[in-house]
Amino acid sequence: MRQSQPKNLTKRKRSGFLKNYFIRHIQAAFNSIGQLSRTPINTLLTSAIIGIALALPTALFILLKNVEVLSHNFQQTTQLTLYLKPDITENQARELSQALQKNPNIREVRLISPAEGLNELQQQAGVKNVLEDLQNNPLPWAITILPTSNNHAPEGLSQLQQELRDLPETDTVQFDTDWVQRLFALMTLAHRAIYALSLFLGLGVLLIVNNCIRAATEHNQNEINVIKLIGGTYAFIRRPFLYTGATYGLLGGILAWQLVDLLLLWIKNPTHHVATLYHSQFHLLGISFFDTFVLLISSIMLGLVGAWFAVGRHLRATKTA
Amino acid sequence: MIELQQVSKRYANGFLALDNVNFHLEAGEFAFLTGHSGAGKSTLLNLIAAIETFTQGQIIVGKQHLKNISPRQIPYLRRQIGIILQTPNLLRDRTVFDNVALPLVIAGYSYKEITSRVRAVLTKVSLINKENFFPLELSGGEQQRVAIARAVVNKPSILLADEPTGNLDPDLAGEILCLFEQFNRLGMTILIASHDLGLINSVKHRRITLAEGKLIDAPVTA
Ligand SMILES: Nc1ncnc2c1ncn2[C@@H]1O[C@H](COP(=O)(O)OP(=O)(O)O)[C@@H](O)[C@H]1O
Ligand SMILES: [Mg+2]
Repeated sequence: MRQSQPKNLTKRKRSGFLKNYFIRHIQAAFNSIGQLSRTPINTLLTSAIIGIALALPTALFILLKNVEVLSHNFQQTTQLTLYLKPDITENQARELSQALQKNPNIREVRLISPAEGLNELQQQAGVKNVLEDLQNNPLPWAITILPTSNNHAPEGLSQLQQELRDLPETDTVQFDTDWVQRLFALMTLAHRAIYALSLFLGLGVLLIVNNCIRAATEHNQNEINVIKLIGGTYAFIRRPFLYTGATYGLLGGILAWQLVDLLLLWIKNPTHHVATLYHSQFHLLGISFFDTFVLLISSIMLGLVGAWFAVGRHLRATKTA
Repeated sequence: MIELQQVSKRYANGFLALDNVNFHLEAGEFAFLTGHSGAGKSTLLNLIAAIETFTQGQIIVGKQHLKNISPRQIPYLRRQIGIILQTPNLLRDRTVFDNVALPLVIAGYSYKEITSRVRAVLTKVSLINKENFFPLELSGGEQQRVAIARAVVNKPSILLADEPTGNLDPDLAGEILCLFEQFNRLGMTILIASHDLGLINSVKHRRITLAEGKLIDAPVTA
């Protein structure tokens, strides 16, 4: 019968009515995408606002992650220098260094004889002339220590420092934990600040989606009324709007992802340049697969929740058909 | 099938639209709800379909008591009731087929079932050759027939119609009445609100008459 229809009628698009729940969901999704594509400017603007709102906290998270890696690199190279008392003999120094080698909190130990120490000092310009005037070597035996990498938190470091200071052979331990502690405090602060910012901007995204979906429900008031009149449940009415909200979220999330990627691309070369100047192996971390996944899931969820509240409020406001 | 027990409806503005109305419509009955404009006919139909709430009494539709019905149950109540309003109330951006299919989609029927049922009902209202038309491409009478098809496609046990022929010329009105009688013969309980006495008098069916919100037993003369 359908085949016998005139051409201009059969080719008219007709929303398909399909067997099961799953396929009807897909249909609702396509319906809402179709509706979105009929108002492309509105859809793009909304998604753009969402994208920009999400790009900011995402970018800050990625940058913070880089700072963390960078600070970790710094700490990898932190070493403590143990200056032994002047009366410590070579044998005692060797024994101590072997004992320290067995300490699980210590990764590497290097024994420096007074001669070696002097030699190293002499490499440094300015000091050379002063040292040449000395009759005999005033330097004690020294041991440089690299802590194990899981021992880089400030507490661990100061504990190790204290342990070394308490050794009877120790004269002084040279290491300044203050800057590590300051850095960690700053990073904790930055973390909190970024979380707070994400919360605010997430709330903003929620409100944007909510507003758009509310406008859509008002625009489709007649259809909603008809569906209510013929026995449509709230879930049925809600479904296409949820897809619309999720689509706004997804598009916004993709945009945020691309914006952050672009930003990282833009600062990649300058960062590399700075790193080479500092003889650092540091490479800028991009937005990982996992980060992207979290970003997209959050943005979709924000869209869904925003839509849910908008339709819910609309349905409650227009209780009867 | 439909039972009203001392039902009163007072609108939010204080107007008493229905005053202590009692009647019982048996399953399979065909009745007209008559009375002058403003008598409360639409109000009464709206109460039965849970579109409006009543302030006193009890309404029982099938086995469902409508006093304090929960919003979750309302969709399922309405799937038992075909509702036809004076204006056809079709979705303009969907074809005749899709408009008629909507109640079946909502109820979750399979595509095959939907297609065969929609085709059957469109054949019955003589619109099978226009299933791919959009509502605005149809005449008023055709639009009303689409609305009727949509109301009965789900085979509801009750059909409520509020002035279904109000906008139509007498010939078309007669055709529509004929359709309702066909559905009634299939067992559907039918309640039609109308003040078109010419139409009502053309057939012999029970009349329920309202005047200023009260039930009147005396038959209205033409
Ligand atoms: N929402 C409303 N609020 C207040 N009064 C209303 C409302 N709807 C209808 N009415 C009043 O109730 C009375 C009955 O209306 P209605 O049921 O539509 O009558 P009919 O359908 O018999 O013409 C009318 O006097 C009308 O003014
Ligand atoms: Mg009326």
